Amino acid sequence: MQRTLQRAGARKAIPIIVRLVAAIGGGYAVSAGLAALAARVLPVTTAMPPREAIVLSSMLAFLVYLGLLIWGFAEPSLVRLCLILAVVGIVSWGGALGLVRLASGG
Amino acid sequence: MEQGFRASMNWLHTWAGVVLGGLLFAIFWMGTLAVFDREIDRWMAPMIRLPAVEKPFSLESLRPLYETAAAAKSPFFSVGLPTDRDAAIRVLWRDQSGQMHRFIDPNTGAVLADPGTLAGTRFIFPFHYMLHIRAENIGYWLVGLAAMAMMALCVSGVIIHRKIFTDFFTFRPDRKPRRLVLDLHNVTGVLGWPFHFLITLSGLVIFWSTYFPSTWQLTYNGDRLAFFADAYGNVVPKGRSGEPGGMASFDAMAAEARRVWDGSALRYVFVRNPGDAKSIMQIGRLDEGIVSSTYDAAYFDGPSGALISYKSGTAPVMSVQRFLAGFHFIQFRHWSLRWIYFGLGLAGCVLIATGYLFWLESRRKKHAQLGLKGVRLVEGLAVGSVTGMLIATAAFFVVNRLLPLGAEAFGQDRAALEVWTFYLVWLATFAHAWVRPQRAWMEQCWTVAALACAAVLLNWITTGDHLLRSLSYRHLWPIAGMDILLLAGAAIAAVSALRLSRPSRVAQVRHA
Repeated sequence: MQRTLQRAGARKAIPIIVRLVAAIGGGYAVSAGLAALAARVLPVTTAMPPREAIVLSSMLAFLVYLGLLIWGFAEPSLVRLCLILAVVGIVSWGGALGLVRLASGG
Repeated sequence: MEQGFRASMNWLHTWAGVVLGGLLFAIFWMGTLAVFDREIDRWMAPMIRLPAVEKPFSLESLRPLYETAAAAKSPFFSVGLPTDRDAAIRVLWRDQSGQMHRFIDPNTGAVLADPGTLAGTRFIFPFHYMLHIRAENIGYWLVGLAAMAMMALCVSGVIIHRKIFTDFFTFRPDRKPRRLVLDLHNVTGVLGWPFHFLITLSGLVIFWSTYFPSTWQLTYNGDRLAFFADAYGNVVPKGRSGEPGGMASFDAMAAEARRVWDGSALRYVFVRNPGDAKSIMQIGRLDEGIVSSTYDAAYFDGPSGALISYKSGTAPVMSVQRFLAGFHFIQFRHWSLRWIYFGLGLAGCVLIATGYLFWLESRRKKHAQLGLKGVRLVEGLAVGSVTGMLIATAAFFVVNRLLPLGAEAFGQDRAALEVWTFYLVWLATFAHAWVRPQRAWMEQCWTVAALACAAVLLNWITTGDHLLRSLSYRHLWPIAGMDILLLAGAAIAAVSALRLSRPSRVAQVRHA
């Protein structure tokens, strides 16, 4: 009886832990990646100097992170949440790091 | 996880509030006090209760202190100049024994006795943004996490509310306690919403380079100083030369800085590498008339006194960042706005505390029936982080007036003893809440009232500045203000304690 209850508790706890990690940790990683990408892209596509682009994308990143947090707890499908966060995270970080390599001629 | 958008937001609001409410209350409470940090300094360090500066002060008279700092190979020598809120000059440098901090009376040039306290600007204010946890910036990250949670709470709070407009006008103090608590939560939440959201966002934006290092690190290869030099226009010397070097006339450089800014007043003087041939003198502009904290500074070569560069104005995006920072720092001169910040900060504290109470009151009965420990645990946390924080703060003020100057015990100096008192008393309030759950709220309210009255009385006894006296001198108004707020706080705490001790009330609270 005790063990069944414990197993039921664990089965309920795991999705919540995954969601907490995805929303808080994943949300941060994605907003940091998007900000890094924007800080690299804005100076190329607009006349904005790099230091201004850096400040702008960093400030907006707080609002992006807030949006991701809200969505992270509202999205019904945990799988879709993790999948989208992973894809956007990889694309943004990959893009930002790729642009740095391009700029340094590597 | 609950189903549906509003239900999921309800879940987020509830659990973010319960888990991070204690941390949020501490941050909001310390931030609210920090609105008057300079005034708290005056109260806790009686030697700086100085009348306003009458004659212009010669910076040259600081040269002996500068030579001391140079001899100690301090990496910096910092001078905070008098403002409307603070007549004393603050001098700071570092030697082998640590941070050296001196107050100077600008009217006489005398170095004042060491007050032996971190007071408002060095304890309460840093607690607000980094909790005095320096290791690996953990304090900053915890505050940042709490701030993000606060914004999520602000958003989810709006979503789960069906009747925002009605809540504006709804306050039913005579109804059941749970109703009263929810009404207070809604009124402070709705009225304070724009302020609470913006003050939290602007607080995060101040530390954007800490919280989102990915942006500048990729472009500047992780070189923080190089980026700051570019973004903020800072002039940073490339290390020490090792050769000794003189320092040109302080007053001449200050006059030059005033000249380039059309006679603007000055906020601070900051020397990097004092006593070195590569010393750099930085002079900051005082912008009391605008919200933005512009960080305009003029840079001089130390030995020659030649102007290297000066800033006035920033690029557009950085100006937005500086405006948000200034909105949060409130270094502008506007007393009515300062009081509004204080009031809205207190509203934030009430918002967080009543959120806790509502959680407790709506679960008490059910948890008792099911034999769950949740209410007891959260109640202990809530008591310790709400009334416990108030008690610890009041104890900090009381012990400040009890310890004689130069006091030392257990190998700790006076300032450290005050801080130890704060933390130990805070810890004790959690223990008390755990041991006496039934009466913890009431007994802690009485303790707040008693300590606040004791602080006012001790201030009178140790400094002679009782209310009638402090009200009649302009330069003692900050003391009067603090005493009046302490008395008002004591009255509110006493009324709360009385209401909590009424038997019917207790019964109602227990069985609501």
